[in-house]
Amino acid sequence: MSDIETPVLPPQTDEQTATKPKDSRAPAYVVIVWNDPINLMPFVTRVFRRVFGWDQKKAEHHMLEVHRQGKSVVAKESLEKAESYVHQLQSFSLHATMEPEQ
Amino acid sequence: MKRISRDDEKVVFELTDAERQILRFILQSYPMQRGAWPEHPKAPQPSPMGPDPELLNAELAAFKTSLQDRVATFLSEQPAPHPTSDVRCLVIHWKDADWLLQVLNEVRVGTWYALGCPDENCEMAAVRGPETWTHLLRLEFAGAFQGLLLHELESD
Repeated sequence: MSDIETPVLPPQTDEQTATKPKDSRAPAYVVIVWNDPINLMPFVTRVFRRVFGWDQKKAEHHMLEVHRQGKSVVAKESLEKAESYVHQLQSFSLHATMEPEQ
Repeated sequence: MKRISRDDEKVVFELTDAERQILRFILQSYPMQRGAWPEHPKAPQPSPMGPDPELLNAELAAFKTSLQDRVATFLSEQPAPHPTSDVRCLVIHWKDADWLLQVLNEVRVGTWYALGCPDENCEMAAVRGPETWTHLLRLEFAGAFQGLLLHELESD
């Protein structure tokens, strides 16, 4: 992501912060957002807030995880829901993929 | 471009005629790509598994066509220029702000792809030249407009 100054937040684990599936019996897929050098950091934060309904702090945490670690797991969902998130994130020109949970 | 007023419904910016023409050029560049973006060369080899690419491309193409129509409507609804002044007003209703950000970002990302996905610093210098100036102008101004709009949205 393009380097724009943003506040530093305390680290949280993916388990604490990713959006989790409502139905625990459904096969879980993780949605991953990958870093790139073009999307502006405040824009990525805003997209996370819009797509996942997160507050500013949680959205910034995941944005910084993408920026610093190259990726962030942003959701753990059923196949259909994970696909829907990937479609939404791609519509904002973020680089998002999904894969079965390990 | 500077903000001259804001209220619960909208924000109003003042633009020079040059800024207005550049913004129009940027918005009319949308979409830079109908479907999904290809994996960029800086990607750290993400998993190839994802949604059905054909379905994703079809959905994105339909979505971008609908946004393209909104862009045309947005531009047609802007106030007429003052007859004796170079200054123009740009009115953005809050309900339009997020899709405008989406459009500006798509144009930035598409321009970045068109330039060969350069890194911010070292590689960007290498692509500067007379043949790329329209790309560079679009990249810089789309980013500037995006930054201004994000600032206004975050100032709520």
